[in-house]
Amino acid sequence: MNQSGQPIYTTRGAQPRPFPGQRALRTSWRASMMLVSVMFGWLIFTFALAAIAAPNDPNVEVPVQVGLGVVVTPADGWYSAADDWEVGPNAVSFQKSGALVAFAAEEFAGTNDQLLTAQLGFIEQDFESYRSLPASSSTVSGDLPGLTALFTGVSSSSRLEGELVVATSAGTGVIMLAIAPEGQLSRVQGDLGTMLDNLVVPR
Amino acid sequence: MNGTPSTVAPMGAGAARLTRQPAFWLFTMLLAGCFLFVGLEQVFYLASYPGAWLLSVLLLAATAIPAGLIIYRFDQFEPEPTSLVAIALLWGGVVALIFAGVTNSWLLSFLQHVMPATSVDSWGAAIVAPIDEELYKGAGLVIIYLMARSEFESVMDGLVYGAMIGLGFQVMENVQYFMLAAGESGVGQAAPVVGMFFLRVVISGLYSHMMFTGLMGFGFAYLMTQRDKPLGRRVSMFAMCLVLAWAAHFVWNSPWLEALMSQGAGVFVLALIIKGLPFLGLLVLLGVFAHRRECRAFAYLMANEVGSDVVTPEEFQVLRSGRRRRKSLRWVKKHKGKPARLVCKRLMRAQMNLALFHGKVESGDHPALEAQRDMIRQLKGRLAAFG
Repeated sequence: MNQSGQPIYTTRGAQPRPFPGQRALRTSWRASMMLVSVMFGWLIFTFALAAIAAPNDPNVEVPVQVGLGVVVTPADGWYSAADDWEVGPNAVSFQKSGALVAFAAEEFAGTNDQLLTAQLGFIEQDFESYRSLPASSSTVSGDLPGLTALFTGVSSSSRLEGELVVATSAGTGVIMLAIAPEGQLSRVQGDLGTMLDNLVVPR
Repeated sequence: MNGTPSTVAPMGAGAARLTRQPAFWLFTMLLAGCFLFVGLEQVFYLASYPGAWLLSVLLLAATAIPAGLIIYRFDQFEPEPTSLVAIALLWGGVVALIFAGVTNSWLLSFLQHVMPATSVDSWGAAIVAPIDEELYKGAGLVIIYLMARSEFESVMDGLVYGAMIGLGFQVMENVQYFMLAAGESGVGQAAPVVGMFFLRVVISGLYSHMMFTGLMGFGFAYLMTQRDKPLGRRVSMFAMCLVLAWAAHFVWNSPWLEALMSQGAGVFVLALIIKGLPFLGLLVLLGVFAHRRECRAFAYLMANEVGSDVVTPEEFQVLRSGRRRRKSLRWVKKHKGKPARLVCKRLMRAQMNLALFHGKVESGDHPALEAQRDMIRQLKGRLAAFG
């Protein structure tokens, strides 16, 4: 047991404890290297999967007729939210990662300001508490002047934030209303910008 | 609790043994590499949202430290070495987090290119996270086993190490979520952190990674330690726990009950309970099973000591139950004072270690046992001196 002639335990200072057997002391690089191989192997495998599948895109973004000649092309990853958000005629809705966006077109002879005020009024009615930032100017469909307003509020006990964009052209008012849980809207704002830029509006 | 020891080593020799294990050095290398990323990430958070970051650390420390202590005390008869517990936490919070983070993004990217957006949107997190995260957290169990097989002796050990890996992962993942919430909210830094803390820790903290990896740890330890059972049974149990851990994670991340969750705060909490409670209940059952096994093993190992001057039958009954030990310590403190309580606590630990030593030596007159008995007698003498 104690072939080296050294004391087999200390009685002062550190508390003695049995030394584990050979099985417990066996050192093996093979098992450890196998584990690391599995870890890096899976890492490489997932990378390869992503790289191989990259050229494939099952989500073909087909332009969608909103109505009154307005056409929107959903950005990558957005899909119809018709089952979750009924938006009526001359309007379509999409969703992605918990965010919802609706595009609507209506006959409107007024200014952007008037359209924005009217729409904010409708939105306010749907919220229990509501606050909007002052509107800022923006562009729609490339160069069509529009107005953008950001807002937050509580609806059905959920804290939401949203973005309303309006533009008028040739007697048609175009409206984009995006809503997401609080803190989530900025994740999709790039997509919203792309959809607004690519919007087809009759001039 | 079995093995074939040959000699005796002083306490503290464990750390020296650890450095002789290849697995330890591989762990160190992986930790160093991953720590760079985690460190940079935390520095970025601190620089970008100092208030939110500090609040996150405080809130998480206030909950994770008690949770860690509770898990640590699951194994009453043989608390795991703190060095290995630290390794488990670091594996979960640094190594597994980085590997899983990278593979999650690649696997999700793969799904986005082969599945419709609507399916990926709803099911992506449920498919990807359990596969990657459970794989890398599970690798932590293997590396701890490779580092210190002698400390992997019962199913309770696996449960404790698994839960510790899960706790490390959960804490660091929560920091990421808190910072994301702080970054995306324009209404200040504290409110979104507190909101996310309430959601991810207060409401759903119990149903998260601690539970998933705890389940897996139980299965892994059953496979590696219950060598008296047929191999098929051990493998089946391991496979079942693996599937359960994966399923619990899958169900948790799935969009099931989402419609229910949007119907108010009460219903939201109810939906979370429906999703998580069955698996938590199962883990508790496995924990009770593991604890009973520990109690039986303790009684078996102490059989030859009970009735001697080292452990009386009354002391043995007290030692078997955590509740009775605490009650006994309270009594000693009340009637004999704080120093006596400290000696009594050391005595109990020494008596419980005696059972542990019995599990590691072949004969009842092994020098380690004799030394331990002498220590117990000394402590009893000191305790008796208090009157």
